[in-house]
Order: sequence, then structure tokens, then C-alpha cells
Amino acid sequence: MHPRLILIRRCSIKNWILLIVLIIAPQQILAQQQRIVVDNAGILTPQEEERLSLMLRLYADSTSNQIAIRTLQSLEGQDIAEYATELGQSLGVGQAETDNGVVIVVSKEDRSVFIAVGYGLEGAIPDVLAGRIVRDVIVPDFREGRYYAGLARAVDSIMLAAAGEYTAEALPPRQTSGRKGDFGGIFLFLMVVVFVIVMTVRNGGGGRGHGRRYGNDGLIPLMFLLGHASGRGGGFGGSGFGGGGGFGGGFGGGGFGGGGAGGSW
Amino acid sequence: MRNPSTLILIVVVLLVGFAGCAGCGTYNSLIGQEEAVEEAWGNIQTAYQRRADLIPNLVNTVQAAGEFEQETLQAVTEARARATSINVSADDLGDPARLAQFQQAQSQLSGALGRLLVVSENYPQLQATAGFRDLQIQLEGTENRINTARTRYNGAIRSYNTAIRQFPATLFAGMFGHSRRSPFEADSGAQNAPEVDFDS
Repeated sequence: MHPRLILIRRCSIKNWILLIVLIIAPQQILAQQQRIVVDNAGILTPQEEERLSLMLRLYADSTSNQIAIRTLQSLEGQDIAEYATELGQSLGVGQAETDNGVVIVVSKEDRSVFIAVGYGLEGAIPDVLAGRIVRDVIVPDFREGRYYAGLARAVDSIMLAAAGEYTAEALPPRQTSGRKGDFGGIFLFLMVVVFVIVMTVRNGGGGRGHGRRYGNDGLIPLMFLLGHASGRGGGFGGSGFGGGGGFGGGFGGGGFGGGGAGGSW
Repeated sequence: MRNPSTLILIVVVLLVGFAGCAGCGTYNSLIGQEEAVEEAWGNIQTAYQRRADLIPNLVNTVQAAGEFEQETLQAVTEARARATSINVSADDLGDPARLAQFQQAQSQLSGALGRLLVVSENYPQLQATAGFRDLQIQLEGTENRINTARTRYNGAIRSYNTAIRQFPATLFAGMFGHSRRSPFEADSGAQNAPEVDFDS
């Protein structure tokens, strides 16, 4: 085979594998956090937890609104509003385009609860409404120790409040962020530079007397790869790991800005 | 017929190419970071504006419920007027004095509001009105939004400040007018609960 072809092929296979590994690995770590109900405080029976999460998954699949529930043993001094907001933001509850997520956080020892509302639902569920749901729906049940009943009724109220604001609609697949693409490009460029230098030096030792062509041999795969590096954002971003709406693909990347309300029981 | 100058040429071309790429990439990423800082600043202002917009409503509700300490109400109204009169646009972010002025006015308003909420505990008939309870929730909501916006602004500032000091950005940053930005200090008025003398 012509040496130029070998160069191109070696470079591209190695780099494609590297790219694929870089993209898939974080996705798999994320998958473990993608449960819609997590009961760390142990206030729900497994059946209750399963029933809640079934309800929420069905709701997410039919409306694309995502409501996540997290219960904890203790906040360890953290502010519950801040905790719930950051949790919603980092999990990305709701869709990236519509920010239609809600997170309910319950802390058992602090006896406090907070409903964090994503940007997109702040109109449908203003703080006052979230506060009323906490005060009139959750707190009375929680006081009696009926955690499941309180949560289930709160979820019902939230669904009623959100009804009509967002309905099932085809959402475009998510784009990966541009910054990662830039980094990948620089990284690839460095790899190529090292590779080309190594190849040039190694070939130089052969001394077969066609020194003028080394430059070409090095630069062609270089351009070939740079073309791929800059195209990477588009090529992979469009493939949609997050999936469309619903909960099939886990949380969709919705944003939270501190909306919602809480209370204690 | 090996020619060492060919090798040197390759190396020079690669070096120039790399420097060019790094320069452009750095320039673009600094622009991106600056945009993020400005956006985060916009969110802070929106959150503070939201709070300022609530205050007339709050004052009306409190007055409608009957007698209330005029002094406390007046302090809130005045602090609001002062806070809304200071605007810091994204272009002024490089000016620490102006930023400090803005922060001080907002933190005075936080203090006045906190005092009003504490005093209101002495007025059970006010606490019982649904309107006041809703306003209290809304005020808490705006404070949460302010906190979130400030935390994210400081995060954006931190990565911006780190970015302009890193190599090779540090070579270009000054040239394109990128300078260090100061973070939003913790709100002294909001953190220390206001003291109220109930005996007077």
C-alpha cells in the first residue's frame, strides 16, 4: 500500500476510537444518576417508590415535563432551596430547550421540603403556587407521617398546575456544547503535530533520497484530520444521546434559576 | 539529496500554525467567557429587579392590614429607591468601585426587607392575611433567585479570571482589553439577621 494511505488510515482509526471512548464514557456514568425517584431517607416502601417513579415516567413520556423526587437523611447545614436548585440544574431535569423540570427535595431530619421549579415552568407554577402545594398538600400529610400520600398528592397538584403549559411535542435532539468541541480540536491538533514530527524524524533516518516529499506526506493527513476535528461538533452533536422528549433518554438538560418554594412540617 | 532546510521549514510552518491556532482559539474562548460573565450579570440584575418590583406591592399590603411601624416601611421604600437608582451595565463590570456601590445599595435593601419581615411577626393580623403570606413566599423566591444568580456569576467570573491568566491567553488578554473582574461579595446585610429591639 502507498505510505500516504497507511498514514491516513492509522491516524483516523486511532483518533476515531479515542473520540468514541471520550464521548461514551461520561454518558455511562451519568446513566446511574438518571433515576426519577431516589429515596435516600428511606421514607417510602419499595412499592411506593416504584409506583411514584412509574407515574412520573409516564408523565414525562406523555408531556416531556420531568418531575424528579429526591429524599435525603439530612441536608447537613445546606440551604434546601440552594440544594434543590443546584440538584435540578446539575441533573438537568426537564428538556434543554424548554427547561420544563421540577425537583421535589425532602430532608427527613430537617423536616423540610422544597419544590424547585425550572425556568420554563415558573409561569405555570409560580412560587406562590409551589408554596401553597407545600403548605396545603405536603405538610399536612407529612405531619401524620404519610410521606407517600403527601408526595403523590403534591405530584398530582404539580401536574394539574403545569397542564396546558407544555404538551407532548417533538423536540429537536440536543446539541453538545461547543466548548468540548474546541478542546477536542486542539487536542487532536497536538496529537497530529507530535505524530507528524515522529514520522518525519523516523523516515528521515531511512535516507532513500526523496527528502522533498516528507513535507507533503506529513501535511496531507494533518489537513485531513483537522477537517474532521472541526466537523466533530456537528457530526456527534446531532446524533442525540439525550433522545427527544419524555424520559426514555433520562433527564434532558433543563435549567433552574431558584424558582419554587418550600416549607417545614 | 537531503536538504536540512526542508525540515526546518516544516518545523517553522508547524510552529506558526500552532501559534495561530492557539491564538485564535484563545481569543474565541475569552470572548465566550466574557459573554458568559455578561449573561450572568444580566441574570443578577433581573433577580434584583424582580425584588424591587415586589416592594410597592408589599408596602401596600402591609399598610392595608392596619397600623405598622412607619419607620420600618419608610426604610424599605428609601432603600429601594436608592438601590434602583444605581445601574451597573455590563460595560461597567471592570470598575470595582461602581460594583461595590451597587452591592452596598442592594445589601442595604436586603437588610431593610429582613427587618420588615422580622417586625411583621409582631402583627398577627398581618401574618394571617393570605396576601402577605403569598408576598413572603415571593420574596423568599426572589432571594433564592438572587443567590443562584450570584453564585453563577461568581462561577463565571472565576473561570474568566483563570482563563485570562493562563498561558497563552495571558499574552493576548491585555491586548484585547481583558482584565480581571471582581466577584460578587457575600451580602453582609442578608447574612446577619437584623436585630430588632422589641422593648422600645
